[in-house]
Parts: sequence; structure tokens; C-alpha cells
Amino acid sequence: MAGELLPPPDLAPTVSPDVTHEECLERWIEVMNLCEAFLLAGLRREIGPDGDLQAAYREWRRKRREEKDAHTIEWVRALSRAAERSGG
Amino acid sequence: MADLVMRVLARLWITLQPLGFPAAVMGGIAVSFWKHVRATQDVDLLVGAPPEREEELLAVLAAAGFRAKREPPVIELGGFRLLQLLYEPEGSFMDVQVDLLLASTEHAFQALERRLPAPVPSAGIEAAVLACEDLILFKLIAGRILDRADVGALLRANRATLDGPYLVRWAGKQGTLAALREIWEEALPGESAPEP
Repeated sequence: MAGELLPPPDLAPTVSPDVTHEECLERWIEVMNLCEAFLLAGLRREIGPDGDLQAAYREWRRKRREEKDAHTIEWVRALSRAAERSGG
Repeated sequence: MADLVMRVLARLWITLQPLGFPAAVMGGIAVSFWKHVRATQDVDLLVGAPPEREEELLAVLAAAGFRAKREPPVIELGGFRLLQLLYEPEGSFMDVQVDLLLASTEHAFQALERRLPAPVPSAGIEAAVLACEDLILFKLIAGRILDRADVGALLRANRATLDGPYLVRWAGKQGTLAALREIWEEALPGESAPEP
């Protein structure tokens, strides 16, 4: 188990103890924008220069949502089981 | 996309406010709030809406442009109810999914009581987010490798301010204490997990 989830503390990216929650959300926006730029570049490569990028993006999201919905249903069932264990 | 998600969160929050239900952001946005920044494209909220006001909730959301993803809109799974919606802001070429988990358990209501204010960047409003301990408890139950990695990163980034006894007490009640201890050892080597 050890070492499977996270890099060791000395190799992990550091988070300043002084960082504010607002700054964290601003970084989330930066990360999202960067990930999206890479995703769009990958999709463009797949569909070629004349392909419909918006349609490809929508299709990618549709597939991701199917996966997420399946997980969400399982998670809510697990929440119910956990609630039964904890007495409600 | 991030701007779109934030706009949808702000619209949802403003729409829900007049109803007076306690609500808190959970999911990837909440994880990012708690210093583990990672990508997410949906808005996930825990909402304390009683079943007898569900119709009112649906009507208010529909009037604001949130459309139900399925019929009937609310899925009942065990003791929980889940409402999945889609919202497409004007001028956007895609929609954003909104998952509302309707609180019905002791822990969910306690989590809502412990929620904290959270600014929504660029929207100029203040929403609320789950406390880090409650976010960890929900993720421990989810149990995927991604959720376990989130738990480890959240423990590491928020160790100084975590309410360990609260976390351990609820993990014990929910049957996730062994998983918490395992992840704790990896995230914080050499530091024992709190005792119940």
C-alpha cells in the first residue's frame, strides 16, 4: 500500500501554509484552463485540422459524464450503507 | 471551462438562497478549496432540502434554467436522494452538470452545520463548502483510488487544522476507519492517526 497513493512527503509539491482558500480556487481555475488547453490540443490532433472541435469536446464530456454518473450512483449507495452502519 | 463552472455555481447558489436550505460545495471544487488543486468539470452540492419541499426546489431550479437530467428528476438510493441537473449558460456551447445530494442522514446534516464560507472567484459571491473532515469522510466512502489519493493529499495539506477526533469518530461509525488509518500512514509517515 505504502507509496501507491502519493509521492513521499519530500518529493511532493509543497503547499504554503499561508495560502488562502481564495488563492486555492484561483489556482484551480489556472489548472482547469491548462488541462483544457492540453485536452483541446489532443482532440484537435485526433480529429484533424478540419474536424469539429466543439463536437469532439462535447463527445468527450458525454463519455466522462457516463463514467462519473456510474460512480456517483455507486457512491450514493455506499453512503446509504455507511449510514446504516452508523445508525442513520 | 473553469469560468463556466464558476458561473454555474454562482447561478445555482443565488437560485437556492431564497429557499433557505443549508448547502455546501463538495466534490472537486471543495477539494481544491482545501489546498489540493485538481481538475473537475461539474458542480456537486450537499443540500439540506426536506422531501416535502422537493417539488418547490425543482420548480425554482427549472425557472432558473436548470433542467433535470432524467425523469423522474430525483433518484432514491437507499436513504439518499440524488438530483442531477444540466445548465447551459447563455452564449456557451456546452452545459455543466450539477449533482445535488439531498441530505438525509445524521452525518450529512452535521456536515451542513459545519460548512464554511467560500468565495466564488470572479462571481463576487460567497458560497459555502464542506469542512475538510467531512469532505474526507465522504471521499473515504467513495473509495476509488482517486478518492483515496484525494484523502491522502487533503490530510497532508490540512493536517495542522484537522479535527482528528471528529474524523476518527465518524470514520469508525461509517466503517472506513481502517482505510483512513492506511491512508494516514502513507500521507503522514511516522505520525499515528488519532484514536477514537
